[in-house]
Amino acid sequence: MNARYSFLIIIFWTFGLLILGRLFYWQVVKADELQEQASRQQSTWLEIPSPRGEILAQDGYPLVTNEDRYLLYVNPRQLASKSTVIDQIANWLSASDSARLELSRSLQTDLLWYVIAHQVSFSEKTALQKLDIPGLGFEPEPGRVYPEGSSSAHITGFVGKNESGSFLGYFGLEGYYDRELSGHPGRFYQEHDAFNRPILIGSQFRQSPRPGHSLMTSIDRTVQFTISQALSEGISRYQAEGGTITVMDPKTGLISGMVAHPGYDPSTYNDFTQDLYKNPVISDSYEPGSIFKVLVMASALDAKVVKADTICSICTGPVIIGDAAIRSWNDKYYPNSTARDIILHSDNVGMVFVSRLLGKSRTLDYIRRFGIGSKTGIDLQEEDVTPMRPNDKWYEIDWATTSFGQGIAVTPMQMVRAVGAIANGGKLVTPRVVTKIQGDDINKIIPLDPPANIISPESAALITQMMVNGVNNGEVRYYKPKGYLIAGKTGTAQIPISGHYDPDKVIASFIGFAPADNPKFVMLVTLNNPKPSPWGSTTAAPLWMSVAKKLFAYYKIPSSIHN
Amino acid sequence: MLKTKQVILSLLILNLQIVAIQFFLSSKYSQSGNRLSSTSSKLEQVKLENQQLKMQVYSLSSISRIYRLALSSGYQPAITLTLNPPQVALAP
Repeated sequence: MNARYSFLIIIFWTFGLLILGRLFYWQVVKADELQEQASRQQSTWLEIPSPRGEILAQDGYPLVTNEDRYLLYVNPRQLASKSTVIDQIANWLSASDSARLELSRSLQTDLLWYVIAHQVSFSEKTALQKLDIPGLGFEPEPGRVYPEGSSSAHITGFVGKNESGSFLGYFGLEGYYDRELSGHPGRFYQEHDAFNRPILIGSQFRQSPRPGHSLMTSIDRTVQFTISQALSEGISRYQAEGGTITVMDPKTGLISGMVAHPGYDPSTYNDFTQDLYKNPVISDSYEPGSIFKVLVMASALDAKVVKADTICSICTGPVIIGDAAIRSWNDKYYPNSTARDIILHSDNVGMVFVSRLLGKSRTLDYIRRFGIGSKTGIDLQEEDVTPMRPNDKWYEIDWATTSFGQGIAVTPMQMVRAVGAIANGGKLVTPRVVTKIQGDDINKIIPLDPPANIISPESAALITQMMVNGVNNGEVRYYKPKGYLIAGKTGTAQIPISGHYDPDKVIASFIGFAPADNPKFVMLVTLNNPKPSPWGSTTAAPLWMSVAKKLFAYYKIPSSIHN
Repeated sequence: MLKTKQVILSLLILNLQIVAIQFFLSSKYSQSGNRLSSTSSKLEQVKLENQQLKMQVYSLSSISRIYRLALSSGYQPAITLTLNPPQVALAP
């Protein structure tokens, strides 16, 4: 009897201890793991997207802003009549036959969730909701809106998704200032029941998102619209393949307007080829042609190797350098031309004379000081420039042709900046678009970089006079608005392909600043392959002048009585 | 026996009171929750309307729209007639 009793006690104790041990295992040893599992089942961490910052024009109106958009999806299993739904949705989407077929095929599957469209607007969502189609649903997604249209596309860039599906800015300001614009997403922790319904009196934690900062820019909406319209009209009138117009304040480097064709619509960037995303003003190099002459002449004046009345001793005919003959553009020569005349007649031989007086080393040094061969530092993503070769790689023919803008590659932005230095009394500025970063927690004015002294104010004044003389007495005098002092230079540059120059294609350009005595703006107009006339003086120059007229009126610049 | 009954009765009344208080509090929470939910919805609605109004303002203020309005109101844009000089005067 005692033995059985003891045996039972042992059994009970054994099982009791086993149970205790098991309880200890699950409640102590595995406690953390089970708590974590329970937490994952019972609670949710949600990321709260942060609103992206806006990009504002100079007057505070947005070039880019946000709007709530929606992703339209359908649950095919809940659809009553698939064919009717396909017709209704396809009609609304204005879908092509192939899109309808794709939609129809997808709705026949066992998918629970099929995305029909992204970026559906609120009004479209309301209209679709009225159709009362079961299985149709909407999820909010952020949308970027461009109230001024697509004319600023190359300045603003666009917002797309990266490999991990997160929103990312590409090109222009969206790319350059992506970190500032993105902000920081928030987090939301909440408990929910077995049916995934939130428990309002349960544990909650919310970390608010930090909204992205907005960018205040120097872009003037009126200037941007004016140049965009003018460029479209110019390309149409002169049957050009494309072109650019850039307007900058030469004293501060602030960009008032920048446009390039062909462009793209940043709200539907996927519909355009990727080569259009690049901003040609800051990333496409080209041989500038005669507009480059003003930089070399300014350098020679600053180095005091020429004066305005220095006579060219070789301007009687072509110049032979090795196997090459350098000729004037029309094979006309002006013996005893002064330096002033060389700019007036855009004399290639005269420029070779000037560069020989300056010398190879000083010519190349001054060109580098004007910012050629280096990035301008403009705050737009994807600036790309062609570096200059080391001096020992320059042969005589190279720096001879460089003196008239061939054999050297520049971007339009580099040219605007360089000629802007002439307009600014010899001081080179850094071009800039954003003037201020603002938000709930920040109101930061971006300081301008101090300008660099490139040439003396006297040299700048001298070359300015030559440029004014060129406009007043050259071929573009027919297009110049009366009563205004305009300093400018035309250019018609050949395009190099595969080691030689294309015999048929050119880039026509005109660069200038006005009013010459107190410049308010420096502007470059380029036209790719205009027809039937290829010359800058009859295409880019009149276009420049017509824009300048509008800018004079807009900026309320009075004409000069003495001019 | 009587004392036991009294105790049981007291406990019953206490429990009923606790239940009533709990019912009252739950109802209050529920009402607050409803008000909160309603206010939250109204806030979202107002935010949406605000955003739509902002979009309308931006759209109405766009330069291209103002230009089109000016044209339709009879204003004429500055037209520059470009008359090219004779061919002999071509310049680079």
